[in-house]
Amino acid sequence: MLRIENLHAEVAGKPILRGVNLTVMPGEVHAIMGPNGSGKSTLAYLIAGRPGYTITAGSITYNGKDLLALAPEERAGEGVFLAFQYPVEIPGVNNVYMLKAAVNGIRKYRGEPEMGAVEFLNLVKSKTKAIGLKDDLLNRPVNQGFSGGEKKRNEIFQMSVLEPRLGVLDETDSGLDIDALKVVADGVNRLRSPDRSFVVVTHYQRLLDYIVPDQVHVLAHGRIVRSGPRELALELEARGYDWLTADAA
Amino acid sequence: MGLVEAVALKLALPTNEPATLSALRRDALTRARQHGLPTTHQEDWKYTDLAVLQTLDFTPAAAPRAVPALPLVMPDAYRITFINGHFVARESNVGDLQIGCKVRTINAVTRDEPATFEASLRRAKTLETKVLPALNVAAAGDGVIIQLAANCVADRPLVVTFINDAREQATWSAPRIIVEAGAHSQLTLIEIHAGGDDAYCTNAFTYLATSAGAQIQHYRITADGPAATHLGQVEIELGRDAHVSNFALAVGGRLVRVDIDCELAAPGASVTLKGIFMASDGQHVDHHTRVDHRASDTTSDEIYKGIASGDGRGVFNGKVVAHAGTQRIAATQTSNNLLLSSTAEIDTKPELEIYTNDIRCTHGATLGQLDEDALFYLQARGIPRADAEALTTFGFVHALVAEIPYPEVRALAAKRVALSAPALAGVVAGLTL
Repeated sequence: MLRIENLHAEVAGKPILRGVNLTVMPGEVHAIMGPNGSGKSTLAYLIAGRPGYTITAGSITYNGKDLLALAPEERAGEGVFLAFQYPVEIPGVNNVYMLKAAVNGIRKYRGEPEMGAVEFLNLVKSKTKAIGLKDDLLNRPVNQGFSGGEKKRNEIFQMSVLEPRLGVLDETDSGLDIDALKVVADGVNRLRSPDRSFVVVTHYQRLLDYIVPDQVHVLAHGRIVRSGPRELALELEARGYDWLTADAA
Repeated sequence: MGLVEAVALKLALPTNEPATLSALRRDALTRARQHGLPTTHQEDWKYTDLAVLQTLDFTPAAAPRAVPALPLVMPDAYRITFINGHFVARESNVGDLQIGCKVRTINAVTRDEPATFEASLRRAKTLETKVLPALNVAAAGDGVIIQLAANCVADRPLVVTFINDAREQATWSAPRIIVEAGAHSQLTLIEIHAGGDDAYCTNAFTYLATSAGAQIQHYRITADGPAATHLGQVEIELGRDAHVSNFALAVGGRLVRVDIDCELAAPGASVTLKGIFMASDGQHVDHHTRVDHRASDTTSDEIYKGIASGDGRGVFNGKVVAHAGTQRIAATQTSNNLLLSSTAEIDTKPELEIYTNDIRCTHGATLGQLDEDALFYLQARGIPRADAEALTTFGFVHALVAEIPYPEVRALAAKRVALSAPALAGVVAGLTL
């Protein structure tokens, strides 16, 4: 599904990633953990195609395709979805309209016919109910005036409508209370399937109580310094990161 | 020969009209000659050069051969339509106006009651102080006079449309609208200027005079053709507790200059000025607004949004003057501008002149480009870059369009905004406003 090899990236001459290797098979959930500034969000952004980074070495291959050669919208068309750590407020652009443009943008990329208004609204209705997104948020400008929790729910709602093949969640759990956390986790778990994968970037192991990962990776100083089963997250919770990061520095 | 003389020779010729009217027009011409055409050496005209007009040999537009499609069709509205400066009765329906609301063409009024027209116009200050309204009155031209008796509430909006469809080079028209709103009367006026592809010039003058407690909503939409020059002056005089809200939408024309001058002349008066201007490739669009707080307890709120693309050039200058001796003045002004290309330019200048201590006043001007984070967010959702740019661009002005209470006006505004930037068209077509 996703193969990241020896990925080096920098911002304005400053190295952020220094040789990341990661392989995610179909149906797997991989958690990326690590201290602040370790490059977790950069990795998520690079998968989604955010501009502003210079890739100095390495590759990201997705279903056999060179992901780095694709524009962000093409990556979305291929089935990549990034749930943002800080969802962007877009004044004047209606949430539902944006989502319809997204659905049809992806369909167009795939050479599929556009979704009609009625079908789309039914889809939206069923998904909002599942995520517990308030109806009035649908017709507000994208993320504008949303609380932190509402923004994160909106991300998961969008993901459930777009049904990606690879979902990348960038600290979607940060700032959420336990109820919202469960909603987010439920949203992800409902989408889990043998041909869909997730990369879950998180600072805390708490989320992993609800989204049970197949593998946990610790990113420190731009490299994955430890990979292990789910229990690694519990160990990190107990011991912190210092015992792992001291070596990497 | 300069433009003023050209207008004097060809457009300001006396017609078969009452002597008082001839005198009024002659005085206006004298005034226009005294002022002369503005040059870029004058502060208010620093960015907008009318010299190009000096070379054109303007003539009055001929009567229309056919009626082109009207830009705004509102089945529930009263309407008055002028094509090439000529009143078109069959596109007008004010016959069933209620008692207390008189809507007549200026030609009819000058024929039947010349004193009314003259008295109305003699009050307008900009006729004395500015060349373009003086030139408007000096030239022969038709338009509409709307007189609302005290307490008359117009039950439907009035759409006044001026279309130039002469299909000839260098026609000049001088449309005018005069509103006299009696005490506690109410009116929604929708003024539209549109036209074809020829290089015509519209020199428009709108004068809104409100008595105590009167309320006017004025939408002014300029959607002129790509070679057109639009020179517009709006003068608003506000009486005690009167309120006027003006919405200026400029989405066409090659050279557009609109001046809006407001006199808050009595306590309790308030004015709201809103505007959207689009300066696309090859366009120059300039708005100058001026609000004079001459009385205590007066309020002005202003927000303008400008978008420039290609090599388009936008200008916004908003002046607020709080005069000496006034108290409890409240004034806000916001100018937000968006540049869509490296060759586009917008010059924005808020100007505050304050001669009183008792004022609450805020102003802010921003000039920016599209938010790259927002564009990436939309792209990451699968929306192609061009559509993402169009969405966020339309989003920039959306709030102002969305609050227009009339669906037909809203749709026209959205459509015209979209047309002036081709990438927006597909986006707006799908928007439910």
